[in-house]
Amino acid sequence: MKIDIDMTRKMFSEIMKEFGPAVYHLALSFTGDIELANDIYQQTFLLLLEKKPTFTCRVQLKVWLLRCARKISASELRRAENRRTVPLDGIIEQPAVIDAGSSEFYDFLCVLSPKYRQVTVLFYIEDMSVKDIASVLSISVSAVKTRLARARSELKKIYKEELL
Amino acid sequence: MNFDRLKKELPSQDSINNVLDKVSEKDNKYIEKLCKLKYNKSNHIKIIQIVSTAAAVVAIVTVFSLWAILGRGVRGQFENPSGTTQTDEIKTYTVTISAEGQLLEGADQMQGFFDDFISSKACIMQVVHMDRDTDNYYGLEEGEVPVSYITTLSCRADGKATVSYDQPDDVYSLIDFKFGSHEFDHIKLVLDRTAGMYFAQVIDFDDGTMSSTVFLPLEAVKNSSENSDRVYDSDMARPVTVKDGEVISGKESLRDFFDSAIKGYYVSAQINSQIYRHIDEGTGLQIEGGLDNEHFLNGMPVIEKADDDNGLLSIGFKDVNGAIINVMQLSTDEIESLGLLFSSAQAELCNSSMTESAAVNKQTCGLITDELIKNPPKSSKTQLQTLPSFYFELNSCVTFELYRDDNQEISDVMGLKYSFETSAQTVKISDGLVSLLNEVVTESVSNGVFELATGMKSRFYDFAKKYRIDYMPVFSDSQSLSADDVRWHIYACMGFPEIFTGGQLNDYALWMYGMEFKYAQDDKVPMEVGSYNPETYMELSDYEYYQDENGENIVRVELLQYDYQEAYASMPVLASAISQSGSDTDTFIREAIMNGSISRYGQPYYKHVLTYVSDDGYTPQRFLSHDKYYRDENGQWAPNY
Repeated sequence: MKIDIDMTRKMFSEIMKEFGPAVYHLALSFTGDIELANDIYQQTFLLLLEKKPTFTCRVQLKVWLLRCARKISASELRRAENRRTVPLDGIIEQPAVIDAGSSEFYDFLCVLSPKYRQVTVLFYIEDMSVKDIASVLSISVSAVKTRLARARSELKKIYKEELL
Repeated sequence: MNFDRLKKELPSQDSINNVLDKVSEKDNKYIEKLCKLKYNKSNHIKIIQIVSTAAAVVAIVTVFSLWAILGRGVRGQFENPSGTTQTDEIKTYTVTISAEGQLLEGADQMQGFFDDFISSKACIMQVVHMDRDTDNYYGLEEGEVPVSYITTLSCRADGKATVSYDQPDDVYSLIDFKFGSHEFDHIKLVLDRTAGMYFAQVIDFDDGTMSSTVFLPLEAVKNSSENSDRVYDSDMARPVTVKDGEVISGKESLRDFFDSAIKGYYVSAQINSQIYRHIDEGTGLQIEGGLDNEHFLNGMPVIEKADDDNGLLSIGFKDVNGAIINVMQLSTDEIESLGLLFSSAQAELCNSSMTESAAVNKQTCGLITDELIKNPPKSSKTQLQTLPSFYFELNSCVTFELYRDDNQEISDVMGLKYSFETSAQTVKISDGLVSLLNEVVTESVSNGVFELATGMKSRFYDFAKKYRIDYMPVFSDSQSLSADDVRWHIYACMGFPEIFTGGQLNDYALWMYGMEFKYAQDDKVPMEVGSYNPETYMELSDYEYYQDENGENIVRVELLQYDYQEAYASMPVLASAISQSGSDTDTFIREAIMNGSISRYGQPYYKHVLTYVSDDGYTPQRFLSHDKYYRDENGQWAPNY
């Protein structure tokens, strides 16, 4: 039977449409770099096609994609760090430099350290449960809750005039 | 800030197209399968984020019936208060506490929990806290009181109780609203003998404040103390009077106090009108009426020679910084007669070089202690000719030197060293103790359970800091050592010196790496001073000391580097624990590394393997190699060049 490649791509674009923003947001929260986040986004979905892991539900698929995005992000950051010739700018400890795109997303990211960004993005923007976030980030549920509480506390200080 | 607007930030169309371009026909079946996947939660609960100008974040559970089911479900569980559940022989008990802190249901459950807790059995108690006010909740049936949160107290066999704070699925923000910005992370059980009651302390993570809640019935505890080694009955705590090194009254109380403290239990005593409370092994000693209600982290009892050399020994508690607070001064005879000298809960077996040690389990420690008290060592005039095979550190006061005979058995004559005395004496020990020690040695050696001694780990924590291993250049075939590498290491070690000459660089490189750079002495070395100066934060994971083929003494160490912030954030109640300990963060983290807390909660980012020449097995005379590894995507160590 002849396979309609356009139909296959359309189906996959639906998958990307559903899970892609979460992957992209997480990558952006890790790297703070639009170009890199787009690159990680592509790598993540290509890895899905390459590895073809099996899932029993969509939640599993989402968690798998986000875990991959996390690992690829960490790997990219490490690679960026290794490319440095002199350790002047504190890349390891400092939040990644946010692209000067000055959209609201970047403003929001800028005020939080990376680990707080990640849980905030996954919880508030991706509506994920703390259990799933814990699975994605390979940390305990209580650590997720703690980070969320601290992130909110940070955001409250900065955006106290606005609504969360 | 409206998070919905942030959701509109999307990946670029180019990125999407790039991926779609790579989709091929062979992916068709797989993609079809992906499209057919469903969300498996049939009763998926949506959380609607409610925006409020006054409060922080409020998410409301919209499926009302779930709450009703949940509420009934939880209460239904307690309709049969004796209905414990049992998993892997660890019993789970459940009690219900009102918002005012009264025990609503499960008195017999609490009794069971304390029976297990006091008998040092692993056990779990779930404390379901009912909420005070229904106004904040939507969808409840009239009059229904919801579960606010559930604390699970998991008591390990070693007597420590850890607590997890939990709430029904998907209502995190609801709880968050209820308690404002506070989030409870830790609860511990405390017996206040003076007040005559148990209570649970809820400790807030962010500001370290404590609040007392959930008063528990002392009767349950009293009944549980029967046939138990751990005496909690406040009647036992009679006042102790000590004068001129002798215990005038209250010997039993004193024995109980130190015995319990050594074992890491909560215990209190009134000694010469001062009340001392040993909270637990982690929190240490608290002195009522003392300055700031002093706490000493991991304050283990110590005995040492009194400073004024009056022939008495000070007995007190030592904190992680080595500071000692003395509780009293007693004569050696008194300490021995009280049985304190041989009490131990933390015995260690060390190899002959004292670089490795193995912990001895508590049961065995108990047997050894009992045997020593029953049949104390007798002086012997036997001359010991060889170095001991092992050291057996019974506690902070007593170390035995263990010798093996021709049959590789521990002999009944061995050196005994009191840590408060400088010289060891030779003693003869009982057959029972010989047998016990043989078992300890055989078990430790045959099971290969020796680990690097804490002292070694501690030294190399300092070592990593002193030599700034995180800044040390990696030596490899593909990357030779450059003057820049050396220069940056100097910066790291010396804290970015302002004046820096070619001569200094030459000297440093020669001393550190045995390399020569032929800079002119007065040449100015270009400087690029940055502000990046993170904590060096490493744990020793392996140590070897050997002689190479050239006859040089070589040290090979493996050091694991942790992300300081990551490990810090992952340790429970660290912020409050630090503030209570009186230690600075660095000291606290150091202790966490030594006792393994960091290993449990964090993951090392890098592994460093170093070799260097050293005549004393520690101080580097010249570095030979440094290999750095990072964790790859599969969690394996990969070279980091």
